[in-house]
Amino acid sequence: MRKKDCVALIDVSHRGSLGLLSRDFIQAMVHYGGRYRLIDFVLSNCCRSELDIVGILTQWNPSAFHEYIGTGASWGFDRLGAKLEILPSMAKPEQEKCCSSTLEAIRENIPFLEHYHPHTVLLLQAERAYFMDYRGLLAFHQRNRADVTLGVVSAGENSPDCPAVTVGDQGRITAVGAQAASGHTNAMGAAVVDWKLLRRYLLQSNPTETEDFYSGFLASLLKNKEARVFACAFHGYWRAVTGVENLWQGQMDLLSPQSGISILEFQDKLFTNTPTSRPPQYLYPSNYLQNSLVAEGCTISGSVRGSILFPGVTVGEDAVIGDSILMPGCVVQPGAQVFHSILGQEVTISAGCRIGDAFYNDKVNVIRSGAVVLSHPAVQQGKGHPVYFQG
Amino acid sequence: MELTALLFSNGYDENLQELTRNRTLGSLPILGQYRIIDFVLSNLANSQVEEVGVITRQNYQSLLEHLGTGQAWGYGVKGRTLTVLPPFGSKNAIVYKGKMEALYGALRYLKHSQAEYVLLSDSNLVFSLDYRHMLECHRTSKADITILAHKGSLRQNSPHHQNLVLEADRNGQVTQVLINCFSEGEGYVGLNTYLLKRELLIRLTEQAHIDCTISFERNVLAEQFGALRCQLFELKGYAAMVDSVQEYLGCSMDFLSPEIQRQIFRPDWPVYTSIRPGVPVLYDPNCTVSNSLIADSCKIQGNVFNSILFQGVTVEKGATIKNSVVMKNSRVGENAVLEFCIIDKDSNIGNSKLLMGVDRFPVVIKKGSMV
Repeated sequence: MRKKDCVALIDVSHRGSLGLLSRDFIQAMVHYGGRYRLIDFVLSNCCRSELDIVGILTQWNPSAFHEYIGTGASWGFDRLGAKLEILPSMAKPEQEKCCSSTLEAIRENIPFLEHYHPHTVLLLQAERAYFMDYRGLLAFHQRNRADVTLGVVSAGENSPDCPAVTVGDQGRITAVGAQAASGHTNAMGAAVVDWKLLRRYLLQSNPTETEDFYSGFLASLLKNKEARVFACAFHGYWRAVTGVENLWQGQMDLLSPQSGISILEFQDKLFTNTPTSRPPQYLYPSNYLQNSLVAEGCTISGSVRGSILFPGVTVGEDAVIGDSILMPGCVVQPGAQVFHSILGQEVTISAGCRIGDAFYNDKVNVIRSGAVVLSHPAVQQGKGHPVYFQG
Repeated sequence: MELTALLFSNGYDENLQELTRNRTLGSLPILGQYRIIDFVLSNLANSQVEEVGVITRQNYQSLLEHLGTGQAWGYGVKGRTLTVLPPFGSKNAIVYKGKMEALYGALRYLKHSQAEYVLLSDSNLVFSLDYRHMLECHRTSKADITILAHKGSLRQNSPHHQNLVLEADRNGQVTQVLINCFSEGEGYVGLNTYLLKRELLIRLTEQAHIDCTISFERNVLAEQFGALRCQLFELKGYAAMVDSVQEYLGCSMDFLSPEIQRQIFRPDWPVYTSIRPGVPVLYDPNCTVSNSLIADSCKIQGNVFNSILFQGVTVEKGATIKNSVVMKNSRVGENAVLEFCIIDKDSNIGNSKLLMGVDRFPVVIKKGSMV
């Protein structure tokens, strides 16, 4: 048994529509920021915070996810004394779909945590884009002799599924979730929890009960007025990437200087696992390229503006790309047009196709990974929902 | 194990002026994100050659840093080794002058190898080749030495240029070896890559030491031509041998052709490098970039035509770069103009500066300069 002060647990169990955009179907594995994946943010934050032991709570384990995480060497977890481990859910055979909560997943992995005997557990949600040194949060927790400390951000329109939090005197949290007055502050998806307390709760509560961290554990803790639950405010750039609109807007932030996040920051702060080697990007004499981010291995002959091109994207002659995100290996054939869209991995847009509209945009169009869009006159976005194409 | 490879990382240093002042030829940065040795090493890795030795002479710190454990090319793991062979000085020879002396320094390594054949190669070669095909040709022809060559111009390119010109019969058996033969027209030009039995190489190396001869081309291939049966193996497709500043710029400009890119950057035959990719390139709303090869982490606000930018280059507003190569982390200031320039790493070209070379005589700015 090795003693560690803090063990971090990353929750990647959320499954949503974003899964369609990457072959692995884990939402946090979605491609982000030109050559990264969303999960790189939380893994890189752990690395830069010098956390030694990090577990990833998964509900299911596609091999692509294992392959991507590997030994964790890409985020520095191959150093002596450190470990990045995937903690699979021990789904029972009779359960066809395993969709237990975060708490359920932690309960199943009590032996992993007991091995390190931590004082505190850092619970992290993976679908968030932000840079933070968690050591500040842990120090805040210790200074206040807190039972639970939640990282909080001021509520904006970009926090759809982060529960609201009511903060009372001296930064103490009085209510969370449905009980809290909305519109003040929201939980950011990083929480420090006293391990003894959490362990006692997990062993006492009924295992079959479907319970959420906030509505279950935290709500029951707040019933006790003695409980020390604190809020630690985070002021940097932060975005929850849980829907298509957020995925699009979050990446477009990288192209606007006012957004508070710059791609140049990524150089030192964001680490990723790069599987293959690709040559530098090549721009043909005829290209027209403005206000865009372009990764290695792209070849561009058409016109691209306000867009993000991931590694290995090909843009043919006279093709037009506007305000779009093209994930690795996409091919836009000559003359095709793509506006206000997200194309998944290895999507092919045939010559002459048009996706979206250059002027009229209210929803982001989404093309599922691996799809081939054949020359169909025009694909207009639906009024209510984003358009999905089956591969 | 069939084949072991020995690479020479130095050579032609004086022809490359400032570019090889602080580095070996093998670690010369090229094509945005590579060091020139990457091409030969990737060919070896893709050809499943399990044992590679790199012979160094001087200034090899940058090469050691680049090679690391060889992991980037799949070496340094079980069953695959990449060994750097530093100069093995005896009291007679401290710094070797030619390949035969270099090989004598590596003789112990060579004798220790279990391979049947040895591939000798320079590290300044840019082509895509499966060495197993060369080995097969060597076996079937029952030659003593197989020489890699391609059809190229025999025109003298620079005053220092040394070339090996071969003539062969219909079966590819070499009938004549000429050194520094310049003429108009085309012919087979050697690519400084040789394949021979390890035992033969050991014998030739020991003999050369006794005779005090230093050059593989002059003293072995040309002088002992009658005694050795040489076979020519023709490389089809693109090949470049970067042995002068002119060739460096020429090879870089060749890669602005999509056809040559397709020949060298093949998805089934990747070029590996140990240089980690950085953030995507940020193109400003007012930039113009045309016919250029751009590596990661660049920030482009100005105009770039027919050029190659390495990682982390900043091109500021109004700057114009034409027919040039700008290496890693250099900055080109506002309204500066560059034409036919090779700017080495970490240089800073001030605002409104004008630097112009010509096609055959590019301006070379050394590493870390402030202009």
